[in-house]
Amino acid sequence: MLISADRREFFFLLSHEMFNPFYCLFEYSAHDNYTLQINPHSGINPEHLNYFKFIGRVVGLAIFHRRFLDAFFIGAFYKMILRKKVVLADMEGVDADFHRNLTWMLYVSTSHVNFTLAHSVSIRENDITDVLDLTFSTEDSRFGETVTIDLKPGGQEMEVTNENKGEYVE
Amino acid sequence: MALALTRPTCVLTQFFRLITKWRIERRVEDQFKAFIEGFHDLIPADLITVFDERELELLIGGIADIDVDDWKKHTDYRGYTETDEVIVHFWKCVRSWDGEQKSRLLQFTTGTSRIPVNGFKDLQGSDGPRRFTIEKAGEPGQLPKSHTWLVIPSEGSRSLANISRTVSTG
Repeated sequence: MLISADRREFFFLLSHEMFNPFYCLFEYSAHDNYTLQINPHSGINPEHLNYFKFIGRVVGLAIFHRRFLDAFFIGAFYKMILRKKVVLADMEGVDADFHRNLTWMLYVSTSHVNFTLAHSVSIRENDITDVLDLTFSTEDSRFGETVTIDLKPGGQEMEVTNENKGEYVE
Repeated sequence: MALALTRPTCVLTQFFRLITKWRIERRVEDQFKAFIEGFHDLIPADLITVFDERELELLIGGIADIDVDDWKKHTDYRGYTETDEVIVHFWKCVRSWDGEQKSRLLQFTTGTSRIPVNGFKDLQGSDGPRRFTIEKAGEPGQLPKSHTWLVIPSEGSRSLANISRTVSTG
């Protein structure tokens, strides 16, 4: 049986190891470089899912014993544990640049002033398709190799347009 | 980011929803499933969901021992100066708070209660190093806001009561 001080030390040391980005299980977010997120490419380690299950148990065990871990995660990770819906605003903590781009698109597509012609005060409804060429797909870099991912079946062929107005963005 | 959405779009909305879901959840779906399976071995889902994401962060990472002198030393002001009544009272107020309230103020402003290893001088924003900043903006009586930095409307005592209220209700 470990005495209390040892136990505290144990969880601290363990968290330093578990969340060390060197092991490719977790990585620092692109937001601030000190909040952690799951490394999407952790599969480089064939045993990674066993490690994640183990880490889940350790985090649970620490809460159970009221011990703290030296680990802070992106806000979305806590929301996922709580089964809360992840929304666009949560992207800010994941990748601030990406979030800025998305909110810019949202702004352009919902504003009446045409930014490409702003100096000539052309007021009309914007169509995002004028500005960006987007499909329902995205690119992911896997160890230097770029892979195109469909966001829905056949997404690479589907254009993102301003059609079907009426639903709100959260 | 608060946007007045007068002309929301359905296709674009769907794109945002899918890309957010992919970037945050789908990319790490297997890993998260393994993690949460281990976590639920110790802590059942219905017991943890009584918390919100900010409380969960403090539950896992603990409440840091925040050095208010270091914090104050590395704070910038926009529209305020350090000797302004509101600012003097602000720091007096922060000093009187317990660890949890200080952590919550930091969470409210920066999105995480984590302090960099070398203290507040290394605080990171979404676009590189960003010192803790307090800006004067808004109408007296409005609640304080935060988007990378803290925004306190002028008019001393009411603002500070509002900070207390905003921070403690999360």
